[in-house]
Amino acid sequence: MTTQELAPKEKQEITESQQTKPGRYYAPDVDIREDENSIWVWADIPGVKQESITVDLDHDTLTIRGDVALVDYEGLTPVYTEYNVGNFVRRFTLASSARFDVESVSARVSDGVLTVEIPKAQHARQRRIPVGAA
Amino acid sequence: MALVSLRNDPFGGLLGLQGALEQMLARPAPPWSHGPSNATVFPPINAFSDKDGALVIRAEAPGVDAKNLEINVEPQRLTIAGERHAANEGEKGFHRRERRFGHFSRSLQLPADLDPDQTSASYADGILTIRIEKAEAAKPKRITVAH
Repeated sequence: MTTQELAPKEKQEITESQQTKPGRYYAPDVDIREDENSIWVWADIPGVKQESITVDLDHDTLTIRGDVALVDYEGLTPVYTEYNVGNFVRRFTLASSARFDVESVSARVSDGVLTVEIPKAQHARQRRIPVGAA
Repeated sequence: MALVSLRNDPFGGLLGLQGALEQMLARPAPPWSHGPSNATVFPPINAFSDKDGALVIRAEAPGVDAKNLEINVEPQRLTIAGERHAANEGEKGFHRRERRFGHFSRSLQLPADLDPDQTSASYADGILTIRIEKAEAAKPKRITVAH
């Protein structure tokens, strides 16, 4: 168990390609891990309700997008701010789409953390080949 | 400075909120707040006042176990403490590791006109919301004129 003190990071704003809807977009922090069977992506998208999240896999491009719920801010006037509120979007190119079972990609969200599992195609999973004696 | 009403401007709602927050971010911190105006302490916090003068604090803290969140409120101090667990500590095979984990604890100095007995907190979708009502004594009162 780590005892490090947790420090926040500045949000990374997306500026290269314009989004069609107005507002600032930020890239969520992600952890990406590969195990024998799947690639896992965890993304921090606080303030986004489940129905506002889209996860798209188009050929070898994975796009994660989440729109924040503005209704929470109705009637509020800021008096002190440390972070800006914005929608999240981030795009990844998977190493090779042929290796992944696109039909079985699954995603779930809990407490502002999105978890995406991209299973590898059956034939791409690592196999330990047993060595017999000649 | 009121935020743009969502009912009038469905596309500009986010822009209005972000514009208001951006203006605040550029200003120096008001005297009653602790620390620099850009967060170096987790979780980052935005403080709002609502129509009744209550203080509404929003903290971005995704992936925190709400049962272990410690929120303490005193007459002029709010403390938020907890931990973000790493789900896959020590495992190999990471391509990227950007999310941070660990203990956190931060204190905020609160304005003097709040009533700490009327504090409520909720945690949803990774956002912690704490609401402290204004003290009765501090609310504006209508004075009737004797005649």
